[in-house]
This record gives sequence, structure tokens and C-alpha cells, in this order.
Amino acid sequence: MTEPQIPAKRKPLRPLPLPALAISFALGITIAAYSDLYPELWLVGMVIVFLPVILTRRCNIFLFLLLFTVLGGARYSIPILFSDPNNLGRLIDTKVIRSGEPAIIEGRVKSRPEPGDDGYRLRLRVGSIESKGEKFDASGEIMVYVARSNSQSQTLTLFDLPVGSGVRVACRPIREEAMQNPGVRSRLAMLSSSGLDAVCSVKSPSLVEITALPDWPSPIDAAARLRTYLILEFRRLLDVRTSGVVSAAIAGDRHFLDKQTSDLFREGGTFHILVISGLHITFLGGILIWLLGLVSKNRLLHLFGVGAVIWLFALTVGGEVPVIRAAIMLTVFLLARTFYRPGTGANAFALTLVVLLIWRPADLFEASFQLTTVSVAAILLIALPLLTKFRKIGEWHLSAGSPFPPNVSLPLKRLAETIYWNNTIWEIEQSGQIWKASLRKQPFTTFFTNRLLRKITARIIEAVFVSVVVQFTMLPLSIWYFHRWMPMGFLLNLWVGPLLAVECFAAIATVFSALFSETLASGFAFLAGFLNQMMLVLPKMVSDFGITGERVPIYPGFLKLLYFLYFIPIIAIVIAAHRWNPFILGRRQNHLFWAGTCSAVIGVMIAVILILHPGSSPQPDGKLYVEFLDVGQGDAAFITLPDGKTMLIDGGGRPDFRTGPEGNDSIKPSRTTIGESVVSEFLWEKGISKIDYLVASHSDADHMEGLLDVANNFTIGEFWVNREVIENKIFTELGEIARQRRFVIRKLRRGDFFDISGCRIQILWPPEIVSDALSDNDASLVFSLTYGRRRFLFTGDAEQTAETGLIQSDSDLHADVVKVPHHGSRTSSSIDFVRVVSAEYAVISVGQRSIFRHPHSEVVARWENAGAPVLITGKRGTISFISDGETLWFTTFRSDSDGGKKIEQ
Amino acid sequence: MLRLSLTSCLLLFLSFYFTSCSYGNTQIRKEVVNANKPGANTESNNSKININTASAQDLQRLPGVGRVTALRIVEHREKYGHFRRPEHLMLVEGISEERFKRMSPYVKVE
Repeated sequence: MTEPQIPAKRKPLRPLPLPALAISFALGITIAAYSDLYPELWLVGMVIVFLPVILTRRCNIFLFLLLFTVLGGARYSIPILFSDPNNLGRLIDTKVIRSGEPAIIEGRVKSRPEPGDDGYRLRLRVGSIESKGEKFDASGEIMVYVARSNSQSQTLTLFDLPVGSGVRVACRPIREEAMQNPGVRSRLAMLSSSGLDAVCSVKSPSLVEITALPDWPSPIDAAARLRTYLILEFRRLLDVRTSGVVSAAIAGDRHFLDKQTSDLFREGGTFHILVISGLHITFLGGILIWLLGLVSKNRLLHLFGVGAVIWLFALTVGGEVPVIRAAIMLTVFLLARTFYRPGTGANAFALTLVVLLIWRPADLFEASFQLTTVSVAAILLIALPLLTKFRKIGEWHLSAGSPFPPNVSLPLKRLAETIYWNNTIWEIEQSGQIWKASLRKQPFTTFFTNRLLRKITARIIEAVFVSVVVQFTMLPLSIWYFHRWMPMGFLLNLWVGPLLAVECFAAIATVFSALFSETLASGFAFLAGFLNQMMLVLPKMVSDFGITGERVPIYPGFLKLLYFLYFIPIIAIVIAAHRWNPFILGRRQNHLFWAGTCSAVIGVMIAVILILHPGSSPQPDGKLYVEFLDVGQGDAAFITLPDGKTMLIDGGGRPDFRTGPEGNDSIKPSRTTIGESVVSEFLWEKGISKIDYLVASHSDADHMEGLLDVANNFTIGEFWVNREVIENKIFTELGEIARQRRFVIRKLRRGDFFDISGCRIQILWPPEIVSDALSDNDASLVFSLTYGRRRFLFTGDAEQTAETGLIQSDSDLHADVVKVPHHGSRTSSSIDFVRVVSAEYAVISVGQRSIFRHPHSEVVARWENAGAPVLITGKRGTISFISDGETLWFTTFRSDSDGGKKIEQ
Repeated sequence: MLRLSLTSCLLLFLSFYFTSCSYGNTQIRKEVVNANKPGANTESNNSKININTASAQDLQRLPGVGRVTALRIVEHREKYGHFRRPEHLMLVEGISEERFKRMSPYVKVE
């Protein structure tokens, strides 16, 4: 089809009005979000800007941009101004209902229950809430995690609940911060970005009563039912890994992915293929347009046909924000196509952005929105214009419409001709003319005599080009959000994408054929499984050769500007690509070529700086920093020694009280872990990529599990552990990582000591000779860290046996700061121990809500009576102590109490 | 040909939609009706302990309930009001589904 061209003589802004408007709209939102202006001001501003436009009936372009800026700000402020006072989130924020207290919530099921961690997730639209005998009308959404019950029938009934059913849930709704450390995403921000006001978990399905069923099934419910059916059939017919991949890619449920596969996808930079978003929607849309194109050429039909299927699909896969976003994007593009307004793509894209931002203005600051925007922009504004022009150069032949040859340098022309020159067309064209001409084409053009072969090669080269451009543009985002750079990403995407597409078709064929014949289905299932293994071959190879790229920390402070600066050369490239006209008459546009090349070089230079991150870690300033992290139930303390060496003591983790988890041992489900999402994030935010001393007090999950991620994500000097360590599964796994990543494991005992950068580390426990076998907790590594006159004591989970042993061993136990043993449990902190330590500060590392009810009140009282104020990580977030050897300061992440107080010496 | 196949696809989907929905709903409907029927429990009401009035001592007669749990139940009742259903006992800290199952035949709410 031929698209109408935009006349070239119009003014520069005219053909592209929407990008400028989209940018000013986004600017308005940003100003509204980050300035402390009163939200009402935006509404007033809107009127002020509108007035001259209405009165004079004339609109200056700057006025127009200003108007959109104000509109953006106003859109952002509206929900703040007119928020529902009965919103569940507000009720909890204003303490009308307290987070974590029992309540009875009535509401309607918003989406079908989905399998979740050891149970089901149920999303409710809240209607009313009852707490302490008082009933409130409420609005908002809550996610209910329902534990799997032993009684199957109850669970099944709940799992079959149609959308729109009324339910009454007795639970403890929770809406509060947790894991409060610098660099770790706030829990409330996570809630609001997923559109939730609170979450709660119930111990049994019997706490969920069904009060009403919808009279008429909604189409969404039918779609959701189809989805559930697909997932269950995948699980029944395909092997575990394949079904996990296919459930994610087709049905949008990543819950069944196994850890190995998802790690391979993440490392290689291909994980976005598993997340249903723009790529899938575009792919599906493309196929549908092609199919419909076979039937009819009516574009209106295309719009409605493709639109309907896409939206149904988007709702079927759970209607998550990225999917809806992609559907909106495709709809806008379809609309543009229907009305023959394709423009340059940039216009339609900008219109989409405005629509998306009107829909959810706060998304502007969300990773997924930014990733989608930047990748689509890279394709539409850099890759496609360049490729189109490139193609025109290569295909050029003498004709009435294009009498002049492309005005570009020879090598470029030769390259383009090799890929795109089609001699047949030229011969046909020439045969119809009365004249004869001979074109001096590059001799290699005859190399691809086979038309299909040439076409395939051209497509592959185009795909590699697009992929490289996208990877290059996304680099700062990928480092900022995922702390990864994927050198092989462009290649892996091209391998994994098509194979996964075929695998998905095989999987659907499996389910479909299973309706008729199980034998046929098993054949397709085999095919899908085979494709799945093939798909993972290349990522595995890349991972084995270690060319996946190390994890990258981000720059702290004002150096963060680098991530924004990166986009300046990119914008320069966009402009150059837009202005470049290869068929211009007269002077060749050499300045554009140089501008583009220079920008690319500058971009690569900044990229190298971002990847190698020189000087990102804090400069040594002769002070000792000890930071206790908030990792919920668990321990983690990060130490920066006076000369800049780093040490991490324990890495948090999820306490595991289910012995012998059900299911296959070799296939580990993929879950977010504390080691990755809290401890590693904290370290990356500090700009750290190396940990000289990794220390585990003992091998309990809530101390050591997180170290697995840390050992994988950072360069480790050595790993210290107590000599009596129980060699459980986690420890074995850590040993495996140590072997792969080549760092030594040192098993320590009393008497070992280290002098590192002016600090003395003295190991106090476990003893040289152990008469009775020590329990896991009692074998904890206990050691002191002395810098000048200041002393810290780290105790792990030591219990009374260890404490008595320590006191009897005559070691000097006095410390200025003590990490209270075992999260403040009453099994530790015996009266004698507290007295001997006589600390100035006692730090308890435990979450705000401990399932073990830690810290026990008598323990807190014991330390406070001994004169040591008790600081709890769950209440204060990260607790940092700083010392120059003489003075001791402390600050806490949450500034609600006496944080930052200087302690006089 | 393609028109035909598209139409048949649409019809297939519609039929699937209506059959599956109506089938699923009647299934659940039955169970909802059963669950809401009064007197589903066979145990006679007299021997049961009313958790909204019973003292901590009485509560300890329930299987699996010790002093600590009984006190927690009483504390919960005083703090957050009466229990609406026996199942709401599971809102009390430390009462798991397993423990509730064991005591549920002897518990009532009035």
C-alpha cells in the first residue's frame, strides 16, 4: 500500500505537533509530582491559560504548549483533590482502620482467583469494611491471599468463583511500609502502582464467604475462564518447564516459571518476551491484520476486528496495566491507519503517550511505562526511519518518480545495494521503456540471486539493527532498574523470540488437539518441549561462557545525572535521522552524518562509563560505617571499613518453617527474594560492586539465604562462616557458587582475629573445642569489631548456651553497640549477658510484624534497664552507626524519632 | 472459506462462553446454597461452647486450646468485638486452620 507523504514544505513543527504536546503534558505531570505546589493552583492555572485562547480566538504555539503543561499538572492533581474519603487506603492512612487489625471486608471479585504462593490470589473491589463492630462504606481494591486448604472442595469452589461474585472476607488488611532501606522500593509505592489499597492473607478458604453470584456472566469472566482452562491444560499436557514458559507467554501468568528458566531469560535480557506487553500485542495484531487482509481490504473492518480481539486478549490475560497500555497503543495506531493518518509514526506514538498519561498520570514514573516508551521510541524514531531510508537507497533505480540517484557516500550506497538491490524489478521496469540505461551497481549485488534468500538476509539484518538500537537506547534504564547490561541481548532476543512464538503455537495446538486425540496432543507436546529446550540452548551457552555481563550498581548523588545525560546524544540522533534526506539535491548533508556519528560516539562513551561505573562506590573517609538493614524477620548488616573495604554480615532471607516442600526438588519456582530485592538493591544504590568480606553467622535461611543472591550479584573477596556450621541445602548451594565464582570459604572459631584497615576483628565464638554438638543457633559466629575506642558486637542467633559459654570464656564482651542475639527472642539475651555487654545501644534486627512475636518485650526491657536504648530495624528502617574511632553517631532511615542525634563523648 | 471459518470461530467461542458459564455457576450455586443452610453441623448445640461469652477457663476445654491461646481469644474478643462466625477464630494469632478444624465441632457463635 502507498502511504500519503507529508508535504516537505510545511513548517518544522507542523507535521509533528503531537510529540511537543506529549512532552509538555509529561512535563506538567513531573512538575506537579515533584514540586510542592498546591494542587488547586493547577486548576487555576488552567483557567488562566485558557482565557486568552478563548477571548482572542488565537492560539500561539507556545501558549498551546503551556496549556498542555498545565493540563498535565491538573490531571495529576485531580485525584489528589477529589480522592474518595471512603477509599480503603485513605481509611487506613487516616487510622480510621488500623493496618493489621482484624476486619470484615465485603466486596466483589474483580478478577478470577489465580494460583499464587501456596494458595490463591483473589482481587476484590471493596464495598464495605467492618472493624471493631463499626461498619464503613468503602471503595478501593484489595488483594486477598488465600492459603491452600487441606479440604479440597473449599479450595476448588473458591478457585471457580466467577468475576462479579460478592464475597465477605474476614482478614487483617495490611497497608504499611516494610523493608525500609535506601534504594529499596517503598511498599506503598508498589501497592499504588499495582492499583491496590491494601493486601491481606487469610489462613483458610473458609474465611471467604460467597454472598452472591452474578446473575449474568460477564464476557470478562468467560475470557478469564478460558485462561484458567488453558493454564490447567498446559500443566496437564506439557512438561513443567515448558508449561511455565507457555503460561507466562500466552496466558500472562508468570507464577509457574521455574527459577532456572527465568534466570536465563533475565541474564540474557530476554525476560520481556515472557511478560505479555507491547511485543505480544504487536505480534498478535500483525498476524490478525494479515489474516483479515486476506478476507477484506476494508480498514474499518480491520480496526474493529483486530481491536476487538486485542482487547479481549488483553482482558483475558488479566488486564494488567502493561497489557492494557500496549492495547491502547495498538488501537491508536490502528485508528491512525484507518483514517490514513500514519504520519511519521511519531505523531501516533505521541498521541498514545498523551492518552496513556491521561489514563494513569502517575505511570510516568513507573519502570514499565518508561521501558515501553523508550523501546517503542527507539524503534519508531531511530530504527525505522533509518531502515526506510536505507532501503530506498538500496532499491533506487531510474524511474520517472526518482530521476536522481541517492546523494550519499559510496560505501553506504554499496552496503545498501548489497542488501536491497532487486535486479528483477529493474529489468521489468526497463523492459517497458523505450530507452536503455545501465546502472553502475555494486558487483556483489548479484551474490543474492535467490530472491527468498535475499529477503531473509535483509530481514535478519533489519532485526539485528532494530535490536541493537533498542538495547543501546535502553541501557541507562536497564542499569537503573535491573542493574544489568546485556551485551548479548540483541542476539538472544532474535533467537528466543521466534522460537517462543513457534513454541506457543505448538502449545495451543497441543491443547486444541487434546480435545480430539491424546496421542496427537502428546506429539505436539513433545514438539513444544523440544522447542523449549532449543530456545534455552543459546541463553545457556551465553550464560556458561560468562558473557552475560556482571550486575552493575548505580551512581549515587548528583552523578545520577549521567543517566539522563545519556539521552541527549540519543535525541540528537533522532533529529539527525529525521532530517536526513538521502535524495537531496545539491550539497550532501554531511553535517547530519557527523552529528549522528559524534552523538553515537558520545553515547557509547557514556555507556562505557555507566557499565564500568568508575568511582561509584563511596570514597574512603577514615570513618567506620555500620548499617543494620531492615530485612524483615532476619539479619543483615553492612560495614564500610575506614579504608573503603566492605563487609556484609548475613543477608536476610525468608524463614522457612515448612519442612520438605512439596513438588520437584530440581525445579525451583521463581520468586522475588530478599537477597535480591532488598539487600542487593541497597548495595547497588550505594554504588557498590565488590564485597571484600561476606560473613554468615550461621546457616539459617533468614541469615544465609539472601547471601546466595549477594554472592551471585557481587564480586566477593572471601566468605567467612563459623566452624561448626550445619551444612544444609543453602550452605551447599553457597559452596557451589563459591566454586564457580572462585572465592574462598574460611571457617572461623574463637581465637582467630584480623587486623583490617585499622580495625580489629576478634572472633569470640564458636570455641576451639566443642564438647557437645552445638545447635544451629548456638554455633553462630560471634565477633567484635573494634575501631579506636569504639566497639561493635555481632552475635547472630546465639542462644543461652552460647551466651554462657561466652561469659565463661573470659573474653572482653563489652561493646558500644550490640546486635541483640536472635532478633530479641527470649531464648537469648540472658541477664548476665546483658550485664556483661553493658552496651550503649542495642540493635534488634527484626521486621515490624514477626511471626515469632519477636522481639519479646521482656528482652527489650532487659536491655533498656541496662541503659541501652533499643533500636529495632522494623520500626526505624536502616540503622546506621558512624564512628571515627572516638565519637559515635547514629542515624535511622525513618526520621520519626530521635534519629541523627550526636552522642557526646 | 475464510469468512466461514471466522464465523465458526465466533460461534465456537460464544457456545463455549455460555455453556461454561452456566455450568460453572450452577455448580457453585449449589455449594453456596448448601453452605448457607442452617443446621449443617450435626453436633447438638447444647454441648458447644459459645466463643463470644465463654471465659478463658471454658475455652481451655476445647481441644488444642491451652492457657495462652484461650487468653488470646478473650483478648481478641475484648479488643475487636464479638466473633461473627466460628471460622473467625482463625483471625486470632496462633490459631491455624488445623487447630480450628479440631475445635470446630465444639464451637458455636451466638
